[in-house]
Amino acid sequence: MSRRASVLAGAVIAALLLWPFLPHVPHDVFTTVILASVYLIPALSLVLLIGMIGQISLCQATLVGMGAFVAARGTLALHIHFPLTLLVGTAAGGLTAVVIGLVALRVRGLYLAVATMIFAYVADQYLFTKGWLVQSQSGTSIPFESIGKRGTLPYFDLGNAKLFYYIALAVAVTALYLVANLRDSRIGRAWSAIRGSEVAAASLGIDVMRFKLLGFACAGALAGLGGALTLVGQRTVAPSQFDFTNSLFFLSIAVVGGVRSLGGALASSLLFATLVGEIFFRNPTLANYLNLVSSGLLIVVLLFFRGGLGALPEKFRAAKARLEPRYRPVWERLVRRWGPGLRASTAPVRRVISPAVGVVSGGLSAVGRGASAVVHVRRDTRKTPDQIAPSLENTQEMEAVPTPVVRDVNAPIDVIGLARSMAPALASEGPGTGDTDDVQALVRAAADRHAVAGEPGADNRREPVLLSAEHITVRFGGLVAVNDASMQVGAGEIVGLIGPNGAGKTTLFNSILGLNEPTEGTVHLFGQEVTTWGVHQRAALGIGRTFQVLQLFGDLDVFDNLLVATHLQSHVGIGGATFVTRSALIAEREARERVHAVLKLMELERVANEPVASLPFGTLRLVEIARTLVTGARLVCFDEAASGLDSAETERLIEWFRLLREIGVTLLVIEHDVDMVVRLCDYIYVLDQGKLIASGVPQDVQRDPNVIASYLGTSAEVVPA
Amino acid sequence: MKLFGRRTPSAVADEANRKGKTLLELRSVNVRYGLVPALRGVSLIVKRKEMVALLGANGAGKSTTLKAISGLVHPHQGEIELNAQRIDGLPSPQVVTRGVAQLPEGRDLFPGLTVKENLRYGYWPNRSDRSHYRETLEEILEVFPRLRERAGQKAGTLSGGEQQMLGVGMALMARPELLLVDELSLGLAPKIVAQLYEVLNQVNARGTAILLVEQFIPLALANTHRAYVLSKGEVVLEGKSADLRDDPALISSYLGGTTTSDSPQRGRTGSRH
Amino acid sequence: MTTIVLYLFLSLPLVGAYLLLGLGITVIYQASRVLNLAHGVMAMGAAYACYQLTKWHVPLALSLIAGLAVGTLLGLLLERVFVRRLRPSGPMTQTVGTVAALSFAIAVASRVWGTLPVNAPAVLPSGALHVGKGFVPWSQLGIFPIALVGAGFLFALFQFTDMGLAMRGAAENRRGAALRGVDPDRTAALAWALGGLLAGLAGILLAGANGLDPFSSSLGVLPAFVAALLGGLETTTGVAIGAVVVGVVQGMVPAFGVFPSLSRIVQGQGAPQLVLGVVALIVMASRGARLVTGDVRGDTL
Repeated sequence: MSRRASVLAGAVIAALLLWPFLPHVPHDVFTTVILASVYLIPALSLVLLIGMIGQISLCQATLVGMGAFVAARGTLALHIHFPLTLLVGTAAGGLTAVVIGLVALRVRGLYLAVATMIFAYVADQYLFTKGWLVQSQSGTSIPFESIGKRGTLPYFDLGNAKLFYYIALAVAVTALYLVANLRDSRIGRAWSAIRGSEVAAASLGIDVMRFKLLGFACAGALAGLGGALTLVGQRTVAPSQFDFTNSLFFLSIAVVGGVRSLGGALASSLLFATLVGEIFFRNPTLANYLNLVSSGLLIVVLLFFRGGLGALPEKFRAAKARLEPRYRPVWERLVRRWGPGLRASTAPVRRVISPAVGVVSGGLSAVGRGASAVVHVRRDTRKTPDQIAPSLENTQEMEAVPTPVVRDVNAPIDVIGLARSMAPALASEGPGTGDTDDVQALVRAAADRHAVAGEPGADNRREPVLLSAEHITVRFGGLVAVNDASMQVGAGEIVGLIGPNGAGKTTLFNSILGLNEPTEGTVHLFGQEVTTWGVHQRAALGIGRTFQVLQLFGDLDVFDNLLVATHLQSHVGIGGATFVTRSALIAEREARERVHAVLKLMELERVANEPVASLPFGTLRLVEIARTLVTGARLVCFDEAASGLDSAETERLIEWFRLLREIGVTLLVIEHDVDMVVRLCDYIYVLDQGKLIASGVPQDVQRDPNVIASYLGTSAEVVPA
Repeated sequence: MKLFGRRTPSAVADEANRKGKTLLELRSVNVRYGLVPALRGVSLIVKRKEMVALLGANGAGKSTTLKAISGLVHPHQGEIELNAQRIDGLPSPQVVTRGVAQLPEGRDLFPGLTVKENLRYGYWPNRSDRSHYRETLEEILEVFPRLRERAGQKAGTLSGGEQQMLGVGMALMARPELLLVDELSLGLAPKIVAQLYEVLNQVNARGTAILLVEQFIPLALANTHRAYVLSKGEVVLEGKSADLRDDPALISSYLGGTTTSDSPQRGRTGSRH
Repeated sequence: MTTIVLYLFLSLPLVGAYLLLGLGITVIYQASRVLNLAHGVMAMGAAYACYQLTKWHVPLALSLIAGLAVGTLLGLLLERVFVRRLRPSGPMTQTVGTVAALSFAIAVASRVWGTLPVNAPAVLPSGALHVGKGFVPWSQLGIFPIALVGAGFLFALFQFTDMGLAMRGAAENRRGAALRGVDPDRTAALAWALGGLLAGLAGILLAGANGLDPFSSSLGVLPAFVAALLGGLETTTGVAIGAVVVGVVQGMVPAFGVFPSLSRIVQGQGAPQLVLGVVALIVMASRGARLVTGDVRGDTL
């Protein structure tokens, strides 16, 4: 962290902590800041839901209310005290969200909005009118509370605005911190994946339903926390504070802040708190305009300022870069003109205060750096691989590195081992030689070229059989898309599946992967019957895939796209993710090491930090392949991987496929490009109109009259080139 | 695999332009689906009253070419001209009103509407011309008696072949100057396919130019004047259909390797030149 | 027994209102594939316009027509600003857009006319139909036949006119429509206009029967959503069935007061809304997978 930034951070922290002790602070300012903290928490819950997972909820205020009322009931009935009140509220919010989620998440996307709207409506009209939840319509009150005994230390009067300020500040900052942790954790990445492409997420082993529910629960818990906090501060809560209009209000705060940005949510909460605290509460007549202004802001941001306040720094930076050439000369001229004069005249003053300034700024800087250390504890600077993955670069310690075991088909591909084995050779070459042939040769050498996975088996096929699809028939209504097709793939093979348009290749492919359930037949993967298993369950066994229409995660950069794929290998749960436990940190480090290894193996290090949207198509195809390598999948299905590539790129793709095989991957390739399949594959299956019309080694298939007829309708013979 | 053709496309284009016979011209058209390049600089022409085939393996860009012409996708580079007027970048409804009709792959009917309603929909570009509606409808129903039988049925209940007939009928209701046909024969019995090609030939004889994409090579070559072969988004072969029939380069562009061939089967409708 | 008949009659206005609103929601969804969460805005806008005009002593008939026009225009506005403009950003942004519109409209209405109910002009005759010991006001009951007429008009439009044909086709298959010269954006705008017209009608009638305030007129549309969802958002018949189910179920809730064990729940505040919530729950749980409209067609346009 730069000196200037750390001093600034320290100054902000000092200000936040110390300003209540200044004399003559108007009460309103407290209210405003407290209000900002109270707004921030539900706003964060929406950032989590909309920004991270991509789901809408229109009932956040209801969940806040649940937290508040349940906490109030708990206090009145069970005499629980602060801080337990907060916990009760959080739990109430979370549980309610789980209940709604179990029903509402069954329906996709937009219908969730309606479901939450209905819930909010029912709560307004029914739930929050019931005496067992809400004491009375004018409000539920909890008694005045304090910690400790009056007259002795320590004593905290919870009604005191100053004290509550610190409480609210602590809660808000903690919430921000925890949400930030979540965002950068395995769970946050799974959510980003779900937002980007549910089908790709499932293929990486992410249980989409479970994670959506988890996200909903977290958002609900946050909302409940906000409710409980409101209760603690105000001592009275009324149903009118949590009606549908308030849900819309929180939505406004979140969207104006920019739903992807935590900083934006903070800024937006402050903005709205200021509006409410300074303007609307001061002038009751203006209070009627609050909803107008908040919904107006929402519309304006949606239509004209996508990204909200959170996008401002980026826009500012871009504008600065654009204007820099114009203002820089002017600035320099000013400095040259007035600088020396100013310096001279202020010299004596500066000499006096400079030591004091030094001490103060040093202290602030220390504070700033300390806070930064806490915040960034798990943010390994991925930009310098040396710090994270020293084992890949530090060749001295790597004396006798065993060659990675390629043959065990039940273990994920050991990319880290491979990369380590390459390290000595790379070190002598020097980094960044970048010549594909060289790198590929190195990888081959490291992989122990004779250890292609699996053993030769019967009929020139290989064993063990990783995939076996038997007598698959798929019927959609009256249409038979696949008719009694059987195929198998053995370890270490490259198998092709071809056929003219509409032949049923995609349908068969989907049955294998779990995207549809065959009407008849069975699918076995790695020896297990998986016919009824879901996509993410099959992924856990070791099958991966790429997509004909690229399904990379568009708002992430290359590194993060690959990092998502480590999902199956690390087992960090919600606790580890939120509180950054030691085991979570270790898992994170290992995950990043894995990604670095793959980047090195596939020569994508140069583009690791580029956003996906800016890269050429051929590179993106490689990134998708790299993603499967990160998962360590032993059997990878490539869905028309060559589509959109020109001849040269197709050649390079073939080379990469061959390399993958030597690393230990088994490939199933669906293609339209028959020439490519013939040159690449050991064995080919041909589908036409849902039936398997031919299977065998490429030369036989190329000559098979049925195949020729189905593609060309001629009786031409093809002589292999 | 680069160009093996006899005359280059630009030579054909120049000649047609000189004689004022060009109806449709594509010049260096590049199309991307998001990031995926689908056409890399395709140039071709269709002359008035011509019937031209677009051949090539799957994924070569044939359908994309038709979509670019009818406005379903827009090229990010290159030009498309109809009657010497630029149409690239126009939305489909506007291209259609200029006299282009497309029969897309998968027919694109309205399954919930009846056969008669579907045909009426096809007449939309001419809807201001109320007087000829009955007449045109009658003509179509004459050509496809099966449709007359099923006039009140919902289009979704028709068989594949009948749906294809309906698709052709709808395209013809628009009385287009240029008809784009995408994979007419897909999933249909040979007899029906032959019937449909008969109809296309008649339509062509009466003055409508046709650009068709067809997977079944002999059928395509037997029924058209000229053909272009696409591979990986580029034109790699071009010439008169009669000449291409015996060209070994054609086969290898599909299946790889070099080929020997005996006489390919001809379509039932005889040869065209 | 007569109680049940009475409440059955009392359900009819609900059925009618939900039919009008649900049809609008369905037609809009078919055309734009967007769930118009701001549907209530059109109902509310028309009702307040009619009310304000009568307050300015404009004759009732003119106010009514103007109100309907406002509803229609609001529909066009919503489509142009929140649906078409936000289309590149995806369906979620469009949905948030409609929510934003809803939020803003409620705020404007609250500001201009206050949050308390006002007496909206009664378009239907006063007086009531006597059923057994109770009575059903004409201002409510009349909604049902008017709704049927409205539904009939919509049906006729779709079945017998060229424009209706164009819209039906474009809703089913955007690409197919474009390839035949029909601009799907224009048909979508027309769909929203129609939705606005019907919503406006429902809004004005409901306001006349129950009084007018920003919340009930905009959020009271929610049951119509459930009705439309029940109908699968696909056909007019489906919506009709949905409207009947939701309307009757909601309307009959107080009738269960005859059962003493249920009377406590049923007489309490918000009971019909609770029942609605339960119905919605059942609809979504059962239709869950089906509500995933696998729309592959809309991609290239």
